[in-house]
Amino acid sequence: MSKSDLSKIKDAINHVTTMILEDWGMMMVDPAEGVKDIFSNDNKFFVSVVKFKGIVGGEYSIVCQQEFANILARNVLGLDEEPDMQDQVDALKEMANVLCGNMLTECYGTEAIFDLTPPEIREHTSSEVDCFFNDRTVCCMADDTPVAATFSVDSSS
Amino acid sequence: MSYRFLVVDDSSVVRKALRKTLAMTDIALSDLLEADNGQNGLRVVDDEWVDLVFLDINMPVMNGVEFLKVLRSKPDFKTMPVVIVSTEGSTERIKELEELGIQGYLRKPVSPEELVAKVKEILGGK
Repeated sequence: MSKSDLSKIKDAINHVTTMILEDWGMMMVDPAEGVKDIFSNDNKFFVSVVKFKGIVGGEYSIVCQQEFANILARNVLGLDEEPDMQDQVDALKEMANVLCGNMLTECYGTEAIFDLTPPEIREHTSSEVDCFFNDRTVCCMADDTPVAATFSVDSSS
Repeated sequence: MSYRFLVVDDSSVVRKALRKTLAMTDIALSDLLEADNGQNGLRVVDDEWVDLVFLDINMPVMNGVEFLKVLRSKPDFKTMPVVIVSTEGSTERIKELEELGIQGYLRKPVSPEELVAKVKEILGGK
């Protein structure tokens, strides 16, 4: 992937992530200073993955921790009390779904057709998420909790 | 007159959020039925009368396009109002859905205001 393509996709992820976290997640979004170091290594990570195929194929992933999932579910569902784990997982999955779809349209336009898989959630330890933090990762703080988005494009694309 | 809606979406968060949104409106809703994929959605419409369907596209087991094709093949459901609520953004896919017969298309994330406006637009004729 060329530097300009990479930059274009990262800008799209940044823009779409901010818009959706603010409008749908009802969170205050600020730029993050740092990448993986803004997360807590003592807490488990959740990674929500959506695979896409079309004119290009690849994966889009959201990386976050419990606190973010909690706030997201609470806001999206309009809850006063702590959301249960299933609601938090489902909120993360839907967020990845919405972000991926919007990111692909922003990058490739409305003429491009993509097929998206249903989102999957995986739990990881700190050492297991290192692969998600690279030059394609965009990080931000949402309601003062860190969240990262990254993507990979198939090498044949 | 009160209405019965069906939401077909594999995300429980979407279904719950929709329920909350509709509960805060003046739309006279007697029931909001739910299905987590197209196949289950078809079971619901076969068993219950539904005034409007909110339909996601990307779902496991049976996606929204397949659901819509089957729905429109049944004489009783040719004109059942269907509003797509999806992240799908391609004009070609939207055109395919329009040719199958939909009454609206809302791109996720959908605001409560957009949702309510679309429902009232569709039901306004009823």
